[in-house]
Amino acid sequence: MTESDETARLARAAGLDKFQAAYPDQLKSALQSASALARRLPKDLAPAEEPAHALRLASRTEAGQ
Amino acid sequence: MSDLAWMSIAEASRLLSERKLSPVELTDALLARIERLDSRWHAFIRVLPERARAQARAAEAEIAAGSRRGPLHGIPVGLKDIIDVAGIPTTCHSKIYADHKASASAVVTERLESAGAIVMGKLSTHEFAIGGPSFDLPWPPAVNPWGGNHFPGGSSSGSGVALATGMVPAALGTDTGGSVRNPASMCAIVGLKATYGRVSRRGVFPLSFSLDHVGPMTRDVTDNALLMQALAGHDPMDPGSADVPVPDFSAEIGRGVKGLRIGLVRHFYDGDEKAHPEQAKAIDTAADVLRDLGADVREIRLAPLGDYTVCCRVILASEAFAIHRHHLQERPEDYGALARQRLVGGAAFSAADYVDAMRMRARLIALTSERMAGLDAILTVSSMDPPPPIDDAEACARVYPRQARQPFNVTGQPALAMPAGFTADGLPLSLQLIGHAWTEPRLYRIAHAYEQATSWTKRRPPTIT
Repeated sequence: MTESDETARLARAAGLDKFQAAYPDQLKSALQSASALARRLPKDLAPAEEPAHALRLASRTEAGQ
Repeated sequence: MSDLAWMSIAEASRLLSERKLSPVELTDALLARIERLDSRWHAFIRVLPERARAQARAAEAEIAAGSRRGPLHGIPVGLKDIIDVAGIPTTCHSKIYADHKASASAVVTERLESAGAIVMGKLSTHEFAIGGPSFDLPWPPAVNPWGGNHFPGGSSSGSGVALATGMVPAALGTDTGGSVRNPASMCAIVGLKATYGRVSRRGVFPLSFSLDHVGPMTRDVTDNALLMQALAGHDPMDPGSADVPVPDFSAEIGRGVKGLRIGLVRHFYDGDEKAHPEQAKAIDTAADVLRDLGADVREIRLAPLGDYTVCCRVILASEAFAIHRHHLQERPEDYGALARQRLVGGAAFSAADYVDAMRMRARLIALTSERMAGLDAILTVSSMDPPPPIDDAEACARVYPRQARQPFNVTGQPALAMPAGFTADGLPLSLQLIGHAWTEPRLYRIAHAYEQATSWTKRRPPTIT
């Protein structure tokens, strides 16, 4: 897949086809920058390592019950 | 009596309570100053003179009747223009929201007005708190009076400039990746990003839900604690708000730092990044000042600065894109070039990237907490460099990656930026103090002790009269 194919695929997936038509270079640049950042995310996360925004429900008292 | 333009909240509050100063006199003096200076520095998007005068008259009548509400009663404040005031447009400094009138006030606006503060107007920002400094928006960017034509930091740029030019004694900013602390650093003022959840964000246009904070900005530490006192408190309708007790934020001010343990994170600015030599020296000197005052300052290591930066950028970009996707598709031409470029960046991350960044965040929170065990606070750099000229786009763009503020948006810890000296050319240098969650009073104690031992918060820009 060429870089422009990849950018077009991204635009479709993200619902940005009009944006892509007007600013194709900005989307291409976004893709390059995001790919570089994503490569720096840790590769050794264990399956049980949960994200920082785990769901917290109000206690019965907090919920007014 | 001090010059009204540079009067602290604490002094004005005392004079107002003694009826030696009238809220109307103070408000009129600052409105006249804004009228005289703002065409040069562009701190304000919208000044609200009639509304402010009405609030000042009401405050004067209440104080005269013996109904003083507290230390902010009759004190003028400015609000970053992503913070709602009922009936007034919240433009976000963007063509997209130029006519967007707020139907209700933000909780922080309500809290300030309940405390008797006088809202002077809406302050300039980077577009949607991310795209700036930009010259292709309906309003010009704020300009830093330090240096005369320099970048004031952002995104709460108008807040920093309004304080540094003596237009208001108090302002609110917001901080998602450092946007209170950046202008505090660049404009030689004091800015606090409190613990995540300490201050309600309801009625504030979001940039990144899990990283956004609202923060007080003032010219000195004592004033910052006074402003913070009015802002803090649980808001059950803000999902990020924490139901925790609100302390007396000024309680520890004046107790000094003897016996406190402070970790110095040198590797952020002399290893992971290489700060401007005068900025690096300012932090090392600040460590010596705190040692001389009796603190136990020892070097510690956190995770590499780049780890926090990657984590913050993936989360921020992903959440911001979710907020802006519709407008990016339908009205991309109505964004300025910088905001458009930065906001569309989140489109390219996968769902797994975002989740992994959040898992990385949990790791970084745990590691930072472990490394800070036994310490009262840590000291490190805020900005790596003094402010660049505002018309040097490349140098301004470098300000964003060359900083150490994002780690504490990732961890949610309280972090305060304040002046730590000036370059040989007279440009501001700064430091950052970080505490454990919910320990803002301890941060104010350390910051105040440092402030008293130096004179940096007393300096005024030589370009301003």
